[in-house]
Amino acid sequence: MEVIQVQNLKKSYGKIQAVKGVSFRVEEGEVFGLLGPNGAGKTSTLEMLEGLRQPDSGSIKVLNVDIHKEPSAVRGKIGIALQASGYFEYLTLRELLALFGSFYKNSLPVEDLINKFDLKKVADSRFQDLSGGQRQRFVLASALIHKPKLLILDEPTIGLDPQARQKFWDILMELRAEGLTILLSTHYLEEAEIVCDRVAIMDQGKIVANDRPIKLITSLGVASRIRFMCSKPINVSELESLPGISIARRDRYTYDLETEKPEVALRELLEWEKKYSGKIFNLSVEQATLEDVFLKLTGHSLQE
Amino acid sequence: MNQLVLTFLRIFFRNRRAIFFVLLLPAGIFLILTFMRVEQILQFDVGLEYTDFLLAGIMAYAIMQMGIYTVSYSLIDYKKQGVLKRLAVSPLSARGFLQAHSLARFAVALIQVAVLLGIGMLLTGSRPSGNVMLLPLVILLGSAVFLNFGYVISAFARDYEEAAPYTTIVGLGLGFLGDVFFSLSNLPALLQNIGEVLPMSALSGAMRYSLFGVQGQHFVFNLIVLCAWFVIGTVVANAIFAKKAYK
Repeated sequence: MEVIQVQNLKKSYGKIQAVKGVSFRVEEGEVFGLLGPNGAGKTSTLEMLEGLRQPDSGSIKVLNVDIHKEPSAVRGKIGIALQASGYFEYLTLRELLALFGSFYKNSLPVEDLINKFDLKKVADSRFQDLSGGQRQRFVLASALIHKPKLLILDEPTIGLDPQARQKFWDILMELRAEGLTILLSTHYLEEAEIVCDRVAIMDQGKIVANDRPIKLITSLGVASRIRFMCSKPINVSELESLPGISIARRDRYTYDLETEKPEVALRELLEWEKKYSGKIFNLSVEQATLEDVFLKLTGHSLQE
Repeated sequence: MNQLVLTFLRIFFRNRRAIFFVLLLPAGIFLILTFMRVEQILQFDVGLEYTDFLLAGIMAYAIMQMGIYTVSYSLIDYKKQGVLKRLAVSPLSARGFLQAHSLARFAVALIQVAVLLGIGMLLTGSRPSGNVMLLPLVILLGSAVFLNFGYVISAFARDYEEAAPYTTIVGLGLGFLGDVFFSLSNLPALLQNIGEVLPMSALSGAMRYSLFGVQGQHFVFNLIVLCAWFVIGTVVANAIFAKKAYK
């Protein structure tokens, strides 16, 4: 069953066209990621899906309902964690959860959520006094208080330290295992690769690719990378002439070799080193990532 | 709805600044003006001691101040902090939000009036002799009118700096023409006519009738003025708040 159907969605702000005909579908139980740099149109797309912004054209169906025509029919069934969620500053987490629970016909017991999201120690604290990781766990708890069928997360781990991010991913994995459908936007490649079943890569208001992360990486023929340093400069054309190596690059002291056959290329490189007067060190073999896919599809890096 | 009304009350009573501006400041102004004996430089023709005249006026002024200043600034905070956006993606509608907020503030307005009345009775010898049963209705109408001002200002203004000119102009204008500190009869005829159709003087007058039984001939007119401002204000505030702030 399709939980989200988005068809040819467009949105402009004045002369700036932020979303240029975006289409995608999200199946029940899957984690779907919108991956792209800042300004790619991810938040605008999500805000139209959440009913916060009216699209210029296109159609959106969430749980088979047009959210812009019947917002109340949808809002009780979806949980939303905004990029910058705010909460009343004079209330404790416990009071906030009770308040949000009161907006829905059926809600989970507050204490269950506090325990599930590891918030017991801070349950009587205020939102603004929490650490980044605690805040995100609370945002998630408040979005899930009514046991929604769909969870929408906008850049959920932005600004978190690696440990807090890992903990957040663990929670998302648990939710996925429970069968919750999740749509998230992110500009973290690692997050998209680890958490998402499918990823739509967005750039400049368009979706440029949409598939499973591993399929995106393999189907585009993006190579693995051998990276090393050498005690003596090497002529990169000499490296390119080795079997299995398609492209060789030098960045100051580091050499990057792109290959579609990493085993062959590595063997050839080590054979070649025996005859060379310099010594190779800091050798590593890296698999291609979504960053490589993004670079290949858009011509620029995700971080630019 | 009940939970949200209680939440707004809880937030109000945990906010010391709000308590100061809404409860303590009006009481302080009342006491200062009373003990300064301002009436010696003003003319009165409403058949009341200045203290009683001022007490009812300050009650109306405090309700106005709560609606225009504290409500608009706190809602701007909610907007800036993303609270309204978070609520907007829940099943709570903008109208539901405003209704709960208004109910909570109505309760605060009742407390405001009770505190001022207590101070007036204990410290300045005021004795209510009017139709006090009408007081809750007058407070309800008056607070609803001025809350609408606050909702509209908070919808337009992005931050305190943008809100300040609106609140200052509206607050000063209503205060000056509001029959609060001095009788409108002290002003030129044109300003008197303008003042009479503004909600501030209508609320002050209705308060005086409810508390002390004076200006009875104007009471119905005052209620009509308040009702008109309430209806127009509610339509405008609901539409603008939903469109510009609650998203």
